[in-house]
Amino acid sequence: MTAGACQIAVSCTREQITGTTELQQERELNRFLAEIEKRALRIAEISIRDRDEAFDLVQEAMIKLVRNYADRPEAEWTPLFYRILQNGARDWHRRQVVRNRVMVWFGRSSSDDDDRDPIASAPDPIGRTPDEKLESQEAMESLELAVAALPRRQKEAFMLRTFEGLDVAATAAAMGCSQGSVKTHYSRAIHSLRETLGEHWQ
Amino acid sequence: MNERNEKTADIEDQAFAAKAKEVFDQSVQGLDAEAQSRLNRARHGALAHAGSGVSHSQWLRWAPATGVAAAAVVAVVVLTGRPPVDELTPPATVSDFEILLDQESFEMLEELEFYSWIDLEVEGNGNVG
Repeated sequence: MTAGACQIAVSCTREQITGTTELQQERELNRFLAEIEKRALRIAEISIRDRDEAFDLVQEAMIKLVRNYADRPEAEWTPLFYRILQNGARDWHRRQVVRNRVMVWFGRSSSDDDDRDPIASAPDPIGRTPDEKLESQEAMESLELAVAALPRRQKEAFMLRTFEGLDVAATAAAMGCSQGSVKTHYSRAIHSLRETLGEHWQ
Repeated sequence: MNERNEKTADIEDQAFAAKAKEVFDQSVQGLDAEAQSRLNRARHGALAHAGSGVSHSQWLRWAPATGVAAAAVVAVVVLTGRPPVDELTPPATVSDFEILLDQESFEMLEELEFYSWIDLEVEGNGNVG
């Protein structure tokens, strides 16, 4: 085999390996996102209380993770994803403040076109009876309202630790703070929620 | 005695967290088919972005100058013009201007272009619509 032929063969093999690696990475990203997306949507929805906007935040977080952090170790994806999502939610709240000021300027309310219907009319996907479904929805609605009323950092710590099940270290990475701060925010959040929801909720 | 109280509180906190997790998981499992379909499309859309050459942020960096100009016009009007109708609403500050010019706020810039147009219409005709 000539030197040129060898070079072409090596080049082709390298391209095949690169292609295979990219395909494998895409599969892993797809699996990771499929696992996390439903919980992420609900967490975003609880953060900003708007499902359509929550969809946008989740998609934006997916795009940023895929584009900027796909090469990072898979163990880092979850805290990175939630860090992007939390930043998106924070920016959304900042924009809402400005938007509301502009709306006030023109004498309009941003909630004028809020026509969301919280009652789902479709059959329950997990086969609960109507009573069970209603009971669960009421419990979740109470919890959502109580979580939404928490200070931002407590809200983040509670949702990441409880809903997503991250440990203290991963939560600290997602929130960009120390593990001690996570413990403090989480503890305060739990006590505040228990006080708000009362004994009957449990 | 205190130690026992702390242990009891910890157990109660854990029970509360477990209940919250259970209720949350049920709400996740109860997501309807439309929501799951939208998530599926969002995921595939995001993965399709992996191979695209021009990044979103680069595109935003080259956002049309008209959007920025419109935002500047509205910001100047808001900062220097007549006071808000609602006396309780705090006046706009310089930080608002920074938010308006933030790359992440491009959608807001597009909307502000519309607001700018309304403002010009009001000045020209005295009313809108």
